[in-house]
Amino acid sequence: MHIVVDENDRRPIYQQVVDEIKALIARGELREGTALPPVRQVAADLGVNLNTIATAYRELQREGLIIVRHGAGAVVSSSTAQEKTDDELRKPLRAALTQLVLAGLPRAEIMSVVTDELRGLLKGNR
Amino acid sequence: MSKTLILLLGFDLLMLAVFMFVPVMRGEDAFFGVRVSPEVYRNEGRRLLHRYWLWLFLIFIQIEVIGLLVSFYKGRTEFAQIAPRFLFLPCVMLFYVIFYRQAKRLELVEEHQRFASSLKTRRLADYTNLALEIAIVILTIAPILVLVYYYPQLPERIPTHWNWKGEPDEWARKSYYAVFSLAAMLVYMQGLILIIKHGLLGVKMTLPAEHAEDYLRLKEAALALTVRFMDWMRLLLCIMLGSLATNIAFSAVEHLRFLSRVVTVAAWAAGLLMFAAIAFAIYRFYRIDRRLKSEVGRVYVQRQRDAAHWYLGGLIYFNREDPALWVEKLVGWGYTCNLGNKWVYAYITLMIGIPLLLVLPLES
Repeated sequence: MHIVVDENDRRPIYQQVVDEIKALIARGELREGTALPPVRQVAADLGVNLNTIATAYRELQREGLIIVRHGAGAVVSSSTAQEKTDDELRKPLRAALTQLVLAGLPRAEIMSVVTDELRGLLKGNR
Repeated sequence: MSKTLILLLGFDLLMLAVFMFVPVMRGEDAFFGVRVSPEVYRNEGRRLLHRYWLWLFLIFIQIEVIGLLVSFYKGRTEFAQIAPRFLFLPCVMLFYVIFYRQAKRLELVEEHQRFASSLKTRRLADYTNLALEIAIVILTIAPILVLVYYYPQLPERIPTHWNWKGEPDEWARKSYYAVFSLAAMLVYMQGLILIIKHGLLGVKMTLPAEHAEDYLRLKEAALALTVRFMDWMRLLLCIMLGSLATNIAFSAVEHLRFLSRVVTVAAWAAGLLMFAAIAFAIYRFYRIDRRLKSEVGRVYVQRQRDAAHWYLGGLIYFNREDPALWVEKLVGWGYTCNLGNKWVYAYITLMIGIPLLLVLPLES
């Protein structure tokens, strides 16, 4: 099991790490109780600053997906993110759909893009 | 021809072979420590390599001839044999670096790279063979117990060095230091190798985004091989140093003298097995590289940014920005320290400084 980081991606590295780990949790590959590797190991592997990975872990902890204990490391604590309001969840989806509409895709194609992405996300073949 | 001359010639030949092989041992991923394209590797690279081999060979012949001439002329072998030997390694290094600079011009720069990180934690427990550890602990403590038990019976003059047949050829006045230094060295070496082993499990693994799982699996196999190799070396070290340490008692106490022969054989067997273990590990590393080549297509992957931090043609890694302490060797098999990490200097002190402190008083 691994996460992928792209230097040319517009998202900051810590955000990519957060998104990758979230995807693994969503897919059920990272189950509750699974230990994440120490910050030092991930930072060394990806060749980034320790703080970058520490920030990513803090972000995941803030969302209630992992618990970081001093000395014991990070453990996946839940497979569902902390409660967000309906509107908070819909907002990024709305923004993404707007992009698709503006790109001139017809309604049926947008629907197939959405189901496609969802299937990919849950199965893991991105 | 003296025995030393043949030994030194053998050593030079080994050096020559190693330095001939080093630029190509990892193929186009580390040609003189530089990543080049397969086409360049097969054409310009091959020509550069042949020129390099020719130079190495000329240097070798020249230095051996100088050595021989001076030995005959002076009639004194020791100094004349050894002096040119000191020339050989620096010369070979120099030519390696000169050709590395030429290879650098052929470098393939990768613009867009994506990397992966494993989410598996490498734990010391997963890399520990319990039965072996128990054997090591017993074999580490046993010599100390033997020496403590026989200490009062030891004569005033105790052996500290033995010839290949196990007969003492150097003695020292009896003291705690003279009796226990070898056993102390053994305990120290065990601790030291364990620290290194623990550090190695945190080795940086730069994984390519494509074939990440295959690449990771084979690199972890290489790590497991290294760690297992270190474990067996620890055991063999126990047998060798333990044999020598107990031989202090066995060759000095009359009714134990028959055991002296047993530990001499054990020390020899352990020494020979060490060479066998090294040869076996090299073979296995070679096999892993071959599989990487066929399954992933790459033997060594690193970010472009890191590639600029290898010096002397990929022999030394110095990168202050890199949090890693241990990195996989670019040229060669196994691992090396990131000299840009300040913790490395603690390691080096542990590795060289303290053993020297333990051994130096014994020499005088």
